Amino acid sequence: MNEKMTPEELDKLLNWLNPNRELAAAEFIRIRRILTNIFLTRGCINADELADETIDRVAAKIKEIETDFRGEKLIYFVSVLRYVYKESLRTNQNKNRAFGLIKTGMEIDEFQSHKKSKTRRAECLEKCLKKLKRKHRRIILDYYQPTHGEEKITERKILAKKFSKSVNSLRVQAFRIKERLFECVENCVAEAKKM
Amino acid sequence: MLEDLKNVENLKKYLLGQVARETELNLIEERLLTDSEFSTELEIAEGELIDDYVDGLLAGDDLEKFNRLFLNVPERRAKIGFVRALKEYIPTKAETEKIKKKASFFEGWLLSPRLAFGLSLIVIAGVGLAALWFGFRQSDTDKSLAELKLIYQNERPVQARVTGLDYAPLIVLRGNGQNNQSEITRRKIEKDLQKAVEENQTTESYNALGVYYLTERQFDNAINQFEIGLKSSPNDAEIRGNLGAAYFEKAKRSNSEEKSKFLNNSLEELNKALEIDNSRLEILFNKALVLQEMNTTQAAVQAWDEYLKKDANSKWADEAHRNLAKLKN
Repeated sequence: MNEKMTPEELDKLLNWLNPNRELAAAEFIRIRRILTNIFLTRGCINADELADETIDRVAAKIKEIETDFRGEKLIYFVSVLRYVYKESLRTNQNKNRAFGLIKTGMEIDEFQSHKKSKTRRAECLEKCLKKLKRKHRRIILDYYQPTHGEEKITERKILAKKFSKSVNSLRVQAFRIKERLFECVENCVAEAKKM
Repeated sequence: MLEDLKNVENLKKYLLGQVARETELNLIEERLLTDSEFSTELEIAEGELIDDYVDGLLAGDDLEKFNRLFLNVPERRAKIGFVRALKEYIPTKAETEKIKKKASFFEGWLLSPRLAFGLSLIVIAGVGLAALWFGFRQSDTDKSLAELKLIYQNERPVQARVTGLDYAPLIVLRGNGQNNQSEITRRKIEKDLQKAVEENQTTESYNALGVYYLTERQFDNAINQFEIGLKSSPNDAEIRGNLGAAYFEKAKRSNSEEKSKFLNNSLEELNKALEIDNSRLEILFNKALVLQEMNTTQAAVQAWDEYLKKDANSKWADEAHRNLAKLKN
């Protein structure tokens, strides 16, 4: 395992990603999330740790490479990720890839259908839906109508026409609204738990 | 092969760890980091996979991989609970039909003439009051913006694309070139929007008042409203995009030192807005305008091309083509 990155290395890494600190921070979070998902999809148990390890290694290298570095910076992360992944396989960290990693789906269902948490989530959902813009609320409620197969495709075409959008642009917008709604509901549930 | 990868079913296979070939995996991973549209597609596929699970559409190997691999992230597990709650909240079409049927049964019961007459009076009075209440409270902002849209249907007051306003050629005269009647209407719109801000203090109301100031070319006031609105909704792409548009217009009327500062502010806000939602045409359009004003020809050409990929046939697209032609000459 590599040493954890120092504050100076973090500073250099952010600057390398983008001279604007705010944009660099957003990029850092995006990269970490993607790396974690990549490790996860490759069946790694400790995807979070491996993503951090990859970032630490890139940060440690920047001093050496920054002046002569040519090419796509982000691809560099993928190259380092591959080394980290291979190492993790060698050290047997991910021997039992993809098996027995988490609770089964049924256990998750049990946990989530717990009456109290279900009610809390439903209340939060209602609150958060009210906070959305009217148009966005209409989009999310219409878009996620429980229809399946051909009916779903037809419904969404009609909906896209109603909102004067292409089917794909409506799909992207519905996704963004759903993400915001999810964030709001999660925050609300966390707040409610504190009380 | 890459275009095939963008296919939602193939993305779902990737998420379920069903892409085994190392070369294919490498291609996907590189693209995930370098192509934001591709990573958005994958996030959407992730959401759709969760929807499929909640709807009971996953089976066999897919379901096993979903449980054992895909769900190994707390956020994804939390999303299952969220999607369930959302689906329970939304009534199905069949349920909506039932509600309608119940309503018609109730109507039938009311066929007793005296009872029907009495209750009708109550209902009419109630509906009238509700309509008054709603008409006054609920849609002040929308009504005002609709009126604003009408005023600028033939000529637009600023070069940037402003949310909610349709295409119209840019006004080239000094001042707004509006008649007295529109002056009165505009003052009324301003009052209504100020009132909506005082009463509601929502992102929507700050945004609407900001849009009004932007069309009035009162850029500092517009920036102020957009910034207040952003405090409570920093991830609202629309209001952030409008803030970028206001900085752009302010930059065009500033001296050279300030101009570059405001253009940078504008570009920063527009980029942030596009990170939140890269499908918004008005933001893509305004970003190309900013890059053109910055004289970064290559970047501007690229931005116009990017815009035209998403909007090839509108009147805004015609203007984008004209700008592109200017840059290429």
